Amino acid sequence: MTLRILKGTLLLILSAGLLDLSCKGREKDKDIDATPNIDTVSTVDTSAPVTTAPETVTEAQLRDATKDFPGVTATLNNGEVTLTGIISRDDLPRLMQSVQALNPKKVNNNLTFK
Amino acid sequence: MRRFFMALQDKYKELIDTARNAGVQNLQVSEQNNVLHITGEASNAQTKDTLWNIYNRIDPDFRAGDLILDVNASASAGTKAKVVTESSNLNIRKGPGTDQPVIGKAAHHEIVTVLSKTNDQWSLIRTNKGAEGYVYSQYLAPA
Repeated sequence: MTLRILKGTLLLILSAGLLDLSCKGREKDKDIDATPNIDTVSTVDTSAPVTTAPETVTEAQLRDATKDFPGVTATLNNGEVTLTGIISRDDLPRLMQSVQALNPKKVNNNLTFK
Repeated sequence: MRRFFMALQDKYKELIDTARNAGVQNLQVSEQNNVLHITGEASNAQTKDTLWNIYNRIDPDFRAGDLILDVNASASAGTKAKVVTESSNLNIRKGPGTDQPVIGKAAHHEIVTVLSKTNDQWSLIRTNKGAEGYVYSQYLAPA
């Protein structure tokens, strides 16, 4: 009987020790994950609007995105961007990248080439 | 609607597959009002350029208006970034917006430190000379 109790206590002590160890291990893992987690949070923020309610593009954002393309006029209507004016074909991809990075509902490209 | 989504996914399949194979993080493909949205984070500017070249080939001059490709390759906070303007200097502004005064310049291909990302468009940076201010994230690529 006493032997059994002793055994039981030993087991308890051992398992408590193991539990303690595993907890410590987990704590460490959490620390290592901490930095990438911050990145994930910020990226989730940017991609989340696509699947849920899309964020509406603002006039200020659109002005910033098209500022470096003087011949281009960008108008905003219900989250849709329409591009008019003149651009060189070489500059078009950069303009589209800049505008689509705002994640508008749609981009209507009515631009003509120089 | 579902069939339309499938058709769009099929049209831009090469783009989606390339993004997946290039290890684009948080890659999401969704459809809204007959427009396909592909979003994610590329680890370098080259991946982003490759995706845009494919986009331009599938939909010449981006005329169809059926895709929003929002895979950015801007450097994250706490990392070094390279200024990837076409050839000009990059304006460093007092605040996050083109209505803010220019307080400095970062040279084309200069390496700067990203201190924080204000939003999707603007990053707070510091140059090696110690100038601090906001720049347009589109012109920063992971160094």
